Amino acid sequence: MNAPNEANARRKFLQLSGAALASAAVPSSVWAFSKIQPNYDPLKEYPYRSWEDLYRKEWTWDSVGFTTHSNGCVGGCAFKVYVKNGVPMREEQVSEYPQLPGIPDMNPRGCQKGAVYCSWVKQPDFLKYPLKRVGARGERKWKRISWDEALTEIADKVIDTTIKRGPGNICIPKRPFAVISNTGYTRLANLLGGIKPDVSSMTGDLYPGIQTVRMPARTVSTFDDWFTSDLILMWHKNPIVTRIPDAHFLTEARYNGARLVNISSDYNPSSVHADLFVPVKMGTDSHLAAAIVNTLISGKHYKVDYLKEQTDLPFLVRTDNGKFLREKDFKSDGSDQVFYVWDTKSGKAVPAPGSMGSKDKTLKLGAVDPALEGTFDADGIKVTTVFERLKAEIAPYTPEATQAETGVHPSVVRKLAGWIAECKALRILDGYNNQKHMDGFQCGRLKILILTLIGHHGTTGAIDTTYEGWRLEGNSELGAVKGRPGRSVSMVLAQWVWGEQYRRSKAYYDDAQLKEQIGFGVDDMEALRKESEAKGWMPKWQSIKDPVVYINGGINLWATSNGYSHLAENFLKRCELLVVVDFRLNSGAMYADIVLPAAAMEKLDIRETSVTRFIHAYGQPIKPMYERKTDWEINVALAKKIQERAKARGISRVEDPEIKSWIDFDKVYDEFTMDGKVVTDEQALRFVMERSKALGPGTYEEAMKKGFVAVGPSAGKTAPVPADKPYRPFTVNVTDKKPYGTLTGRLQFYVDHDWYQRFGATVPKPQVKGGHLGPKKYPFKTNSPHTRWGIHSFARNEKWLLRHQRGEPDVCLNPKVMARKGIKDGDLVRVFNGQGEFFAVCKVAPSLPEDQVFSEHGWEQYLYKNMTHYNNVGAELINPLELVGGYGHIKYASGGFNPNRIFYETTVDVEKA
Amino acid sequence: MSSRQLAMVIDLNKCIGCQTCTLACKSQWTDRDGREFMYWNHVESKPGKGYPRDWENAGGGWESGAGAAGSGGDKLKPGRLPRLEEDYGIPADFNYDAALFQEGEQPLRPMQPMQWGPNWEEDQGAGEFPNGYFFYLPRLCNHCTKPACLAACPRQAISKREEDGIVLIDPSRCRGYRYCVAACPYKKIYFNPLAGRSEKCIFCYPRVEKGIPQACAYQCVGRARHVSWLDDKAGAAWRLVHEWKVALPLHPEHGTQPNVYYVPPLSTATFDAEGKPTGTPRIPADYLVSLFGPGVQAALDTLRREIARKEKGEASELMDLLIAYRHGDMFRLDRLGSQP
Ligand code: SF4
Ligand code: SF4
Ligand code: SF4
Repeated sequence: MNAPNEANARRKFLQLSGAALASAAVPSSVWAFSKIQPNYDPLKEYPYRSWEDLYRKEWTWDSVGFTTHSNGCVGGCAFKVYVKNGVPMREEQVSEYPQLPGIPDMNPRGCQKGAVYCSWVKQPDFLKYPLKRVGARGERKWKRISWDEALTEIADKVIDTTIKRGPGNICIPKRPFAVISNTGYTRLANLLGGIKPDVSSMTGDLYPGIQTVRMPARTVSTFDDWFTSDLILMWHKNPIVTRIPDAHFLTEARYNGARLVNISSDYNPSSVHADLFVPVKMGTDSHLAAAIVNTLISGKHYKVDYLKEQTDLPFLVRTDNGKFLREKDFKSDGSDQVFYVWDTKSGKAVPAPGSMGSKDKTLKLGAVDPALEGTFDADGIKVTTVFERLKAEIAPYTPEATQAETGVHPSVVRKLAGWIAECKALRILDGYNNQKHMDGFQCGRLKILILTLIGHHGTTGAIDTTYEGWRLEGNSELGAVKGRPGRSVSMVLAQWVWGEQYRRSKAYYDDAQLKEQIGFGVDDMEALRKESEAKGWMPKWQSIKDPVVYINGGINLWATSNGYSHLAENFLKRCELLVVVDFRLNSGAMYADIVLPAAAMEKLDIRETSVTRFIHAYGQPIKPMYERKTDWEINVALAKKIQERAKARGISRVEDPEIKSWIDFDKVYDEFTMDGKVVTDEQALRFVMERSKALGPGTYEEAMKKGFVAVGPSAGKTAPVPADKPYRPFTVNVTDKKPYGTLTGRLQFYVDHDWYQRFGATVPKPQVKGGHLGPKKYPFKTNSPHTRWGIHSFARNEKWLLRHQRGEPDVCLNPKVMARKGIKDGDLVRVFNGQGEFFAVCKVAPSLPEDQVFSEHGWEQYLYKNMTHYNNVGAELINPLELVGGYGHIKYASGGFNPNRIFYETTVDVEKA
Repeated sequence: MSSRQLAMVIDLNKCIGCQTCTLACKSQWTDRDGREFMYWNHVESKPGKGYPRDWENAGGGWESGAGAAGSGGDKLKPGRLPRLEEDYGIPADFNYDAALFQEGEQPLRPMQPMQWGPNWEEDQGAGEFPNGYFFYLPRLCNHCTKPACLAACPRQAISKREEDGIVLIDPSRCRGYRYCVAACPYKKIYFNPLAGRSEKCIFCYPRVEKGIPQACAYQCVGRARHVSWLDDKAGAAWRLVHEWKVALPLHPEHGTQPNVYYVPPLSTATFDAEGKPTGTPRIPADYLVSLFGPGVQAALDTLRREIARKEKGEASELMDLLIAYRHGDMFRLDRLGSQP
């Protein structure tokens, strides 16, 4: 694919340019306009225009196909691919999305990374053939092998491991960000009883705090809904950088009269178009949120009727033990999932409808008028309301009292709270960076409380976390195998054990300091983890299994974790066969025993993110090149090989009593393909699309013809998708009085679980005091948010994109810090703490506070001097509130609730390298 | 003068610095044949030295004449040629093959150290935290009404098309003298060392001739760019430049009369020493005047006034025009001035 003469051409280019351009200066001769038109006027007519065909000829092509590149990206954009001589030459957005009345349309969708995708896929880091390691792991001594050799080795190892070590020692983490590509791995893992790690928490992308309030936490409006807001808070999210195709809805909302507020520790690009910048000290946002809640409550800026119906704020809580008043408090055989409100009309405690234990599956209060405030006597039990508890606990957090912690002047908090109180449609864009802090859990609950207090959740506003994906029944059907659940696990806990993160965090953090600031240390976290597993709250597979065979589909192994080198070393000790399936050789793939080349642009699939109403096509504008196969084809081929080897070796069923299941090795292919129904990509994709209510017959053809297809109403998981308006989640809970999926059936702000009581977190309020938790001897906080130049590591080594940066990893520092440390822009610096180090070039950043070392996320390990990596310095923590289970909706859920990766508490130092 | 002029307006309150325009142009015209180092379109963070480095101090344009402000005289000012490595930056190549597939060599790196590039000062700007500031300035050839480049070419290889005002360099007549490079005050002509001649933005005439807007404009995902005939009174260019006077040329003092216009940037207030907002926009007013001329204050006042109307729930034609509900409405390329 690389032009063979590229190197020559380049050499020539450099020689010529060096000679021709070396600081030449033009003599200061001066021409007059009048002197240059002896024969004709070049401003008017030019006689020699036949050359103009030159550029016209450069804009020609043989065929046009469609693709999208949503690899890890929340978006999804339809692009045309122009193909010439079988080679993808250029991409351009489709720009044919229909407009909704009164809302700007979505054209064109697609960012700079998509615009250069054709160039990237032609780079040498894209894989062409299956490779086998012949040197040590990570040494990059490769041998090209055939698909048959590769699959045979993997199949035999899968069978041997299951027989020797028992089922459940095969681990299949994956996320190739396309429907059948992804679900193929799920199906195979289920058939093999494999471990299926939650890769969202691994990356730090869960919203466990918000999950305690509503189900699911992770959901968004379609992003065109931003335009309907009149106040938008960008909070822990930098959409100008990370939501490039949707950012125009923000600037357009501003032109439409909306106020844009950016709450961020640095003056980031989203501040550029904001009306108010709130420079909160990093990691103290929970205190700012508490101050806003405090101001709203003390100013009585809350919507009483809405709170009475939609939230648990009127629910009764016993003053003696802090537990909800439950039916079982009155009757020994009463439910522990039926709760009470105080009816001001009848003057007594009455059961609230809509909770998990209630027979009334509605939020309708009927004749009951619940008290929001007060203390009451319920048949001898002294009770108060959740709202009273909240008011009391949030009272200390005034704008004045929180200033020392947050650095935000009280006048700014009051101005912001005033805007919130008077707005008609509040939107909070809640990014991933919150929950990477220890206090992100409570801060998440506080943020949604702000929106709820003014009655905007599910009505005129929303808190947009991240997409959940449209409901596609066909996809669930494709992944699920009856009676074969596989083994879901929290990847943070798996790496805590397999990667020995516990040992590392213990060595780094100062337990005395942690106890002072949060009341528990790293040893406590480890003990609580074990207790949670013993109680059956969190899955325990990491404690009783090993990742002996690790088949990694579309994930950059350790890039979104912590302690790269330490993690890799400890993890690899437990892994006997590491298989990486990817379209390029990413840093993780360097350590693989076998690398399998997946098709990238040559994929036939769809992308289902719910930030637009459209499903996007990977329309296979070209067929797989070299020996690449699509992810679906790879899974089919592996299933086939396992069945073939099992039959040849006389192996059939292996029982799997731990999960009350079994593995039929001699039928894996037949089962995988549903006896031949879903062998090809097209069959699998049609299966998904045609069996999903929101799509249905004909949509496959439409997607392949236009590059996208709109979903029907049933695609929305918490509300229907309207035909003429943007989608907004949770509206049916307000309009139809439908209970939320929480224990109380409401937007739930009180959790009376023992552990929440123990850690002082029954209501939303700050959990951490005194700023960062990292050892104070390191003066800087690390900030590594998402970049405009990649989606995680996707596109980060694309050459045109690197040419728009410094060509290597960079670290931003405030100019005063640089002056103090004798560092100049462009110098190589070393960032370090007791856990590790990394090297990067320094870039000056006047928009950064002095207490931060800022290095955007996603750089490949192999871009760093000495194979260091920015996550080498990161050390993680576990918040016990996220280990809880067995409490209604608060329980383990992959992609929903389990410990999120918390590592933004890390502190470091920096010096000139 | 050309009989008609196609003009572009770039709204800096919608530009998000994403560089989609840059890479759209790159893949359309300049990822090959000695054009690799050229960015016919690029986006620089302001304030800053920009691309090519320090272009604002590299001379060119017209001596200011006795005529009206911005109209210039008829004498060219001397200019200097930017240096390839130091001021443009050589487009780095990388050791992908060796770093990934062969033991020994690492890390993955530019094979020659980078010295400068089209986005070298990304998000840098000026000021001191918490009052730092920056904004994005996309730049391409302005297809000037009085092009200094054209006047400077001793070969008369540069012309301005009669039918649309697009300024082009005839590669068959160009001998690579580069007087045009020096003469352009925006440094938007590049010397192609492989071809031995100069090249520049062609306003995507092969697309425009088919009614398809320029790649940088049509692919602008921030929806910041409008294109229309300057004399089309229903087009965004006329309306924003002449009717509302919120779109201004960059560095009008050079006298070339650019046909790319900018809606100037609003910015949030600075904080005082205690941390209270001051009410003064953080991008200094005099800096904006130095870029866009004296009309910038009135333009910002108009924008603020019209936004305030929307805040109150009143209608604003200007805001609706800038919002651009339909992407297609941002472009009016048809020769008769109607929509595509
Ligand atoms: S911007 Fe420069 S190159 Fe373009 S027409 Fe004006 S003077 Fe010529
Ligand atoms: S008009 Fe066309 S050639 Fe000129 S900068 Fe834009 S994309 Fe490039
Ligand atoms: S594509 Fe548009 S928004 Fe993005 S940098 Fe270019 S002009 Fe700005």
